[in-house]
Amino acid sequence: MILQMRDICKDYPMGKTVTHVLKNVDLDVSEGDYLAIMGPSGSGKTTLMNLIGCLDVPTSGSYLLGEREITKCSGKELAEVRNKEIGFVFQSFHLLPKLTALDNVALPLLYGGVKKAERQERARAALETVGLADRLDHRPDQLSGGQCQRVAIARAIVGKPRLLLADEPTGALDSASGAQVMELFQQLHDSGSTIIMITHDQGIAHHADTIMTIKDGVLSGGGSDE
Amino acid sequence: MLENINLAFQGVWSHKLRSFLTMLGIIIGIAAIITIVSTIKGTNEQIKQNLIGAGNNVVNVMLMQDNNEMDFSYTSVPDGVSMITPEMRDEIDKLDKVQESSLYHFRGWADGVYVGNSSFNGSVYGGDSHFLSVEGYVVNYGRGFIDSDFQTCRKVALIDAKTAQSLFQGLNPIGGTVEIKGEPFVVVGVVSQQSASEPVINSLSDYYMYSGNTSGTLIIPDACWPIVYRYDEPATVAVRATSTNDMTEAGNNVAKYLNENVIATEKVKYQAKDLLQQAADLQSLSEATNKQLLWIAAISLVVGGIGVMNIMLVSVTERTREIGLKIAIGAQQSRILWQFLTEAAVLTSLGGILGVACGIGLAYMLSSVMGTPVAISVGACAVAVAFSMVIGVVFGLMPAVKASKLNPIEALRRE
Repeated sequence: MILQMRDICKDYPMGKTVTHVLKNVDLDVSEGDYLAIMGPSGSGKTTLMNLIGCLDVPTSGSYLLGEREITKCSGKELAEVRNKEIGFVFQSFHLLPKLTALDNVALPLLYGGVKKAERQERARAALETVGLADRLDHRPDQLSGGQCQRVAIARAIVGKPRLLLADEPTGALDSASGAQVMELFQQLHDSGSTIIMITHDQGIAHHADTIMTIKDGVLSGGGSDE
Repeated sequence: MLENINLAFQGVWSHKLRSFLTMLGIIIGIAAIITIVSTIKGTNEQIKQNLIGAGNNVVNVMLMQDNNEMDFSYTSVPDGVSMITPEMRDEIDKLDKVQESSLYHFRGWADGVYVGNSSFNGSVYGGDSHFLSVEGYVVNYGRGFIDSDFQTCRKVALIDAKTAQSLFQGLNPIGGTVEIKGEPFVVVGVVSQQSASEPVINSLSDYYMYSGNTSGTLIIPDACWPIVYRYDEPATVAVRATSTNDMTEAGNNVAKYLNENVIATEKVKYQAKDLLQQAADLQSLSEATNKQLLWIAAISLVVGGIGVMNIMLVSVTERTREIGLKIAIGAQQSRILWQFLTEAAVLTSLGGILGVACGIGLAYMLSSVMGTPVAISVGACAVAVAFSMVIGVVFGLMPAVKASKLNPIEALRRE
């Protein structure tokens, strides 16, 4: 078990009233799992994703990631967890426009305090994994959308995180590029990566081994897709 | 850190026009300060040079009453003052910081000196055999003093070029006769000071300050002094110090020695006429006016700093998504803070460097237009650049803190 959520609630104050966005969510993820969380917009799936990604902390409940109790972590420790334990893939890539593909991929290692030579070495290896070994010195504006997302995936896996977290990874791509990206996730899963994918697209979700649905802040399901 | 500086330079370079406009306030402020400081320093050095002369290093130790020089043309010799003997002069030469000394008498405004019908109103000196070498005189025409001039009280005189011009009007002065108090002296040589103090006169007040030095010199052997002036006049000691900065100390050492050996009264004392002190007094006077200008220049630095803060806030807003991503992939708050602080500091330091360059240029331009003296102080330039860096840190702090406190969820969502 690398991820264990128990009784997670998240409330947002909206003026005078309080909105309960997540209601008593339980979630278990084991090493090597490939999980898709589905839900319509407003269902709380983005909030759940932020909590899993340690960008936010729950109002109540407990969240164990690896051996660490996330709800008891300081801001500094949360930054460290995001850097070492989690790899993010965003819908809109979020690459830094002025950096080359290689530098973009090496960025998490920079924040992790890895030496320059090793950073470059590992970033190059990660870009090779996603099939962009010939695009090291290209900046994002010289790459296609699909290539950008593959750079972003390389950035997510370069630190060898415990968990790969993807938020609508194909949302900004045409279907051909989207298929390539999903192919890449499948390869990563086959080589042992743990992946959680958030999406509202049934077709995308079906790539995962397990699908859970979230509706009005309640997480349900977990039956195998196969 | 290096990484941050590198990144900051890229940031500055990628917005060249914006960076330059932001720096402009700092550039103007630093340029103004460097111009003012250079002018102050130039003026100070000019004052020092005017008073002390170019490397002459001579300080005069003279008899003073209530801090006023005694002028023996109308005051009588006070009781309790013995003559300084040549043996004492040899002792003085051995004092600390003293290179060589000379005993002499003088009249600042000579009376009763004529050549034919032209009168002379320069200074008359009665110097001993060391006088020419201590005061740095070289003989241009004719000869200097020789030992027999002193031994036999030969009535000979040396004059400088100014005196030669005013008394002999272009005729050869060598062999001419100068009448001092009715006694005829033969001019045997024309001398000039190797490193004469030639004051730079910029204004009327400068002229009055230095005018004493400007009208001619006549030198006779001190052995002849009693023939034309007083017999028992206490001598003044000219002391050549080992270096310019030792002048004060050398003067004080000689004054102390003389007060212990020839003075037996409280009314008068030998005192060094401390030109360094005099220079310092004049310098502080001219500095006082210029220092007020510094404050005004400092205000423009504050305005420049606010400009930097403003543009850094804009930059933080523009780069919200970038900051959000960096926080999401694990950048510590302190890292974001430093990134923006470094950027602000790099921006203002560059402004400082450009400002120093402009300031130096401006100081020289002012100098050529208005004739103000200039001396560039390396220390002041270094301080100016360091200070502009501090401005960057101070005014960059608020935007940097704002950046580091961004909520990554909100920041990532921003388009």
